[in-house]
Amino acid sequence: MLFKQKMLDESVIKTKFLAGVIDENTYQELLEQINENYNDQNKIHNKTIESSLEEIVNDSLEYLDNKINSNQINENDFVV
Amino acid sequence: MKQISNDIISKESQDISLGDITSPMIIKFAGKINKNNNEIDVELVKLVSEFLEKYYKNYLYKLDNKIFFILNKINKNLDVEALKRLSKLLLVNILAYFVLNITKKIQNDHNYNRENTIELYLKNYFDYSSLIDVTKQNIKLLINNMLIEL
Repeated sequence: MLFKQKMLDESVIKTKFLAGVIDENTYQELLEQINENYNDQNKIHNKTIESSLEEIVNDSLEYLDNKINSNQINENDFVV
Repeated sequence: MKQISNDIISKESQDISLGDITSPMIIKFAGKINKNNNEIDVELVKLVSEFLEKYYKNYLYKLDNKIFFILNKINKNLDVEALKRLSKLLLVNILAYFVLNITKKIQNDHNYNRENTIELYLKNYFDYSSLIDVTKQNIKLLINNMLIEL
């Protein structure tokens, strides 16, 4: 829900800016802070599709490799 | 244990073309895996599969090649076409489980709103970390079954 929170925060400060509660410099600074915060949290909490698939593929291949190496299946099982 | 021969690989992967991974291919395998479960949202499976194809085509191609080269290291005895089919079979199954697990999670997520596009939701709202382990387990079971049944 990080993105939703980001949109909400941006909306709040935009309203304040348009209402004249904060000046443009403050508005821009706050926008940058929101973006930095979002990016930091996103890195921590969200895995990307690429990294998720990479992890699953690596695990699957390692599992297959281990089964062969531990003789649970013989390498010849793959031979025609 | 029965052998995984070129013929068997060809038979198992008859629904797989040796070209790019496409969403119909993922959908077909997701359907095979999930054939006894009527509670899955088929339209959502289609949307998630199309999302993967649309935005990750190049990445899936790289993964396919990576699997091919590692399988080749594991076993140098299979011919190139059999290796290609085996790597594609493994990748399409991984993607099918990945899509099914995403779909199941979205179905239970009340924050998903169909008025949002699936792209917006999957790029910005979805937490992938929670489905990695379950997908890994699915694939380990699949590998075990392949090795036993084939």
